[in-house]
Amino acid sequence: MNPVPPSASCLGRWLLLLAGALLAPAVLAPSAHAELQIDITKGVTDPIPIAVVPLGGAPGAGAGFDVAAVVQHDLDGSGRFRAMDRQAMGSRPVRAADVSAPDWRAAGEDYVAVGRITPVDGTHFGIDCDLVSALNGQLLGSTHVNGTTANPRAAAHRVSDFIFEKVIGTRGAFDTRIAYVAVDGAPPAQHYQLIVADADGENAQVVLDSHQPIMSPAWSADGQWLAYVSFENRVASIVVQQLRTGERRQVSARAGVNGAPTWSPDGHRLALTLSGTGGNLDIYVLDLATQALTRITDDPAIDTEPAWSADGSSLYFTSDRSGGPQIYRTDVIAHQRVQRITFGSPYNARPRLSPDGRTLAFVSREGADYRIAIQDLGNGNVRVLTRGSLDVSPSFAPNGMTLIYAGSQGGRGTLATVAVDGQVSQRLKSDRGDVREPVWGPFTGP
Amino acid sequence: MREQGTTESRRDRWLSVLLSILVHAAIVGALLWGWWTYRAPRPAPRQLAIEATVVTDRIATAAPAPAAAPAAPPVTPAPPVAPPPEVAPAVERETQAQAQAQARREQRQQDKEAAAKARAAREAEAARQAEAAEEARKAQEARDAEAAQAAKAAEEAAHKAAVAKAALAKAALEAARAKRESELRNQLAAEERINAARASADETAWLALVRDRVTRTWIRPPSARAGVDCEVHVTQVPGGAVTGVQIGRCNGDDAVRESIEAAVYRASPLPSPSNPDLFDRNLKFNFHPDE
Repeated sequence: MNPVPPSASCLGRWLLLLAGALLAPAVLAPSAHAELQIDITKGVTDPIPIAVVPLGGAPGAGAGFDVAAVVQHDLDGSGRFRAMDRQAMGSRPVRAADVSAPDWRAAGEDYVAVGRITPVDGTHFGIDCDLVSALNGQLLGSTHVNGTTANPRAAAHRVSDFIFEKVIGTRGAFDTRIAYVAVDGAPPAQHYQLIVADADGENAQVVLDSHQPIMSPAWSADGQWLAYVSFENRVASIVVQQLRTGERRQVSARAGVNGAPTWSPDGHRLALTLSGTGGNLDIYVLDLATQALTRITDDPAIDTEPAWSADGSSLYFTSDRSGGPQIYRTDVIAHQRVQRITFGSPYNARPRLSPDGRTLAFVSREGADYRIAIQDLGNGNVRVLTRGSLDVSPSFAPNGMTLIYAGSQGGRGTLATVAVDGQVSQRLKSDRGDVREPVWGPFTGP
Repeated sequence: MREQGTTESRRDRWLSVLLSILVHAAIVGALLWGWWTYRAPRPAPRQLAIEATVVTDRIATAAPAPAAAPAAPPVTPAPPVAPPPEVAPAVERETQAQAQAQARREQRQQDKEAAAKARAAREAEAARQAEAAEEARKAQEARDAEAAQAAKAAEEAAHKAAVAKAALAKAALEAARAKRESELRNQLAAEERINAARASADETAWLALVRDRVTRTWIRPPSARAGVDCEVHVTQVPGGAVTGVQIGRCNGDDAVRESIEAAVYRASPLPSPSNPDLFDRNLKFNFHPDE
């Protein structure tokens, strides 16, 4: 037809295509690289909203024990979660597949825990639990735990541990125990009890009952033994006691003060405070197998309340060698070198190390008040966590996220926990009068 | 596409040229054969080949051309030269001689008539055969013409199809090119608008809103410490509803990843920009706690 246009349009087309090919990356690349970028460098530590739905299962399974109530209480108490009131639940699914994520999301929940309880025999049951994200409807994980009707709470605590670890990323410490001393009565007819309980204060068991003072309980690394100071023969002695069998051994009954025992991380040694006949308190390490005693400090000032570093290579202790009580550190082997750790407050005492060895907890005086503080051993930053007037005896949970301590209410000692980020403080229920010196036991499971 | 079409049509054209040559050759052949047949009254070669010898014999005896045959009868009217009957003995002899002559003449006449009859029969036969051959030729011609017509029609149809196909391909190419051009133009225009908007404070303000919102919804797990660095690609729809969260490069643990994903979903719907041109379906967040 027209001899020129075909070749011209052909050429034009090729040029256009070429231009397109050359232009396309130039046009697309900016939008690909210019994907809007937003930096998030801060966050919050708000409690995470979660719904713990009452478990389904055969009536009477688990002896009618309300697993969900225990889980809810655990999570609430951790300060990391805010559990939904079950009365407000629109539905009660028992399987992940039955969870309508949008409904829970609309109700303001981020996660939903559902489960079933199944009897195995007369004294055993199983719990299956699914954790669902209401934010995207995905199943985060499932777990199965076994329980006994003799101690159903332990199984519930393991469910709490599972949820905690899935969402927070740290092993939960709900299925652990605490030890503390309870004092009843008024002098001179006082009555002392050494008590071991679940981490939530429930399920309390008396492991020693005495009319003489009991002081400074300490857990062995494997959680099978407790060491404490007993005055049962009117003089101080250090006793270790196996919890399962009740077997007791007196390991130090030297002249003068025998106090403040703490178990080394390897479980073979005790650090303790001895005064000897001279009456000057110093730190020693006692080898439990050989009874060999090693003196760690030798100073005319008071050195007491030793605490092991996480790796067992050094000891932190309280000393008034600079005037008021402060915390120092010394090597267990080359113990000539002593380093002061705390400053600021005129009173810093009773050190305890976090399980990862990075944080030191202690009692710090603020004005007239004694409070629980933590210090970052890396940068020296100190943070006071409690607001009481007499908060003492801090002890880390084995996951390092919470501290238990002895507070004071109406002139009576109480037990309380505080998250290491200071967000939540919770008072533990106790009907045993004046309670003091709580210590958190280690993880017991795998 | 086009190249192939050209090849096809060229091949078709060669085929048709070949066919046409064949058809023409057939026609020319037929004409030649016809001309030959009429020029020398030979029968059509194919069917009459068996009688060829006879025909050759006949041609030798009846040398005169068929056109000369009608001229023969004027030669025969010689008989009117008969002598008068009054001359007796001589007349007798003469009569006898005349009778003999008459008989011979008659005989000759009869022979002539027989020959003429035979010749006429032969001619009629030849004419009939020529007619049959002509009919056969015409039929063949008709068939050939028909075949040529069909071939031509097929060729035309093929050509038409090729042309249509080429036109279709061209149209598709045109449409694609037009679409691409239009897309490029739109992209460029959008890019210009966005760049213009980004130069303004609108974008900064919007991104700050988004950052503040996600910061408030990021519940940091203990493992989200300084040193953790995670990027997350977020897809949103107009209105800010988050439709997808994809964790990219990330050195945090599972809890960090879960916390980030949860933070973005919690923040949904994300704040919208005051200038709708700024809206971007894809956002990238970098989570890197500074403490």
